[in-house]
Amino acid sequence: MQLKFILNKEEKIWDVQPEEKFLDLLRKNGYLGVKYGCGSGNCGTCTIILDGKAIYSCLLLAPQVQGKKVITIEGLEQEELDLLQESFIEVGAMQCGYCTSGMILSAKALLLKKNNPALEEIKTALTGNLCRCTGYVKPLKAILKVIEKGKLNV
Amino acid sequence: MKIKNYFYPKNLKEASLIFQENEESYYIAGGTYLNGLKNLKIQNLIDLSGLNLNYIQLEKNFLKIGSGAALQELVDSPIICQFLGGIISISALGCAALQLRNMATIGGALVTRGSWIDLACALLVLDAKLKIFPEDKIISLEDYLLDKKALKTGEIVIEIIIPCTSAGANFIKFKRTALDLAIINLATLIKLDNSICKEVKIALGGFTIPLRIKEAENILKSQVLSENLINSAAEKVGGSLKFISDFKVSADYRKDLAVILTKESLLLSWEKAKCN
Ligand SMILES: Cc1cc2nc3c(=O)[nH]c(=O)nc-3n(C[C@H](O)[C@H](O)[C@H](O)COP(=O)(O)OP(=O)(O)OC[C@H]3O[C@@H](n4cnc5c(N)ncnc54)[C@H](O)[C@@H]3O)c2cc1C
Ligand code: FES
Ligand code: FES
Repeated sequence: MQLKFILNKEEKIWDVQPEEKFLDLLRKNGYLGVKYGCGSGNCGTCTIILDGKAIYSCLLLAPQVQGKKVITIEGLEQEELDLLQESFIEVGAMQCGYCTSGMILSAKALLLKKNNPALEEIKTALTGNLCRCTGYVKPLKAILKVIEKGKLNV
Repeated sequence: MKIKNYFYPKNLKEASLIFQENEESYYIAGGTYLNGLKNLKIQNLIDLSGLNLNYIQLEKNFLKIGSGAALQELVDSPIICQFLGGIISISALGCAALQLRNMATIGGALVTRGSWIDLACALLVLDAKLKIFPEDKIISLEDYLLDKKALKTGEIVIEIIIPCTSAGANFIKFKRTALDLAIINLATLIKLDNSICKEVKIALGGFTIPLRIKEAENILKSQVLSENLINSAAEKVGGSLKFISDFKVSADYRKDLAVILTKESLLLSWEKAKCN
């Protein structure tokens, strides 16, 4: 079947099998920023933004994306890196990096909705992104730093 | 899983017709449960997300939640946050992670009939009812959970109807980690008439299909409440059914937990009821 949707601001028309997981489809088409961790909605490495909301692409069938807007980590970087990406690098908020795209997209979805979330809200937004390396402190720092900068801009 | 067709119906009638005309058809809402099932012989999937069933409406006597409302919409909705102390929002917030709550729907959750469905426990003490297509048939959530055949093949849950009332309602999910499924889910509701307990509901879940514990409710019903009486009701919950052991906890532990949490929840409900 044909799947028509917007991927990182570009319209895509892809031929897909209806039973294909959207995660597999993205990776097959070269979007390797999205990772396969558990495949069962438990780890968050497959997080993408669908119509403005963070979701697990491993639990999503390709046809569920029909007509919708998707953002992957590849879509955050425009002319330059997204503020969140920059901040993660600056703070050194990653070690193996396997969780990082998911973590950044969860944070991005939150910041798209709210530019000044409280620490508790950030933690809630990241609950679904497991990280086995950093201990979460540095990712939180990196996100808080972006929020601080946002405040200075106003 | 090899799927032949994926349908996007625009209304309930169309969805139901596609179901009847195609073998091995399944409805899909958020898809989070369906996608985890490995051995299903699904040939046709009928996507319910285009039916505009994600509304939340507060009417004079009823709160109506469309079956397609995502769990996170229940967390965020000001109407639901204010309804009976926010018991529905609180139970929805305990479900897994944000990504999952953005996908899973209230209808999908109830239709799975899973012991771990947090909302089911909270909705039981609220006397929730399901409106079903066709014929706008209404069944109580309690009957639905007890009877596997209450929802006939091909029928669609349209909305969840919750009567408005003023009472002290409370929900507790006991889990080990943020993303854990419940070891015990417990919900209670108390309605006072002066100091007499006019109405009381206790629902237990997490390891059993969520159900009301009426023997325990009967101890409190029409009585002047006291801590002692609440203790007896809590003990009754412990004796009311078979608790199971699993890789997380033993049956004895789970039983003790059920007793303690029932007591805690009833006391909280009682406090809240006094404020009404
Ligand atoms: C890792 C993980 C952890 C979870 N943790 C929890 C938890 O702690 N607590 C909790 O409560 N839930 C939890 N859930 C969610 C729960 O298990 C289900 O996955 C979810 O509620 C299903 O909702 P859905 O909209 O995705 O349903 P779907 O997967 O789309 O559908 C589920 C079933 O319902 C049928 N169906 C859906 N909508 C309708 C309708 N309107 N009428 C008739 N039939 C319908 C489908 O045909 C299917 O058989 C968890 C899920 C996962 C994957
Ligand atoms: S791969 Fe999707 S949550 Fe783990
Ligand atoms: S950096 Fe390794 S899992 Fe997070």
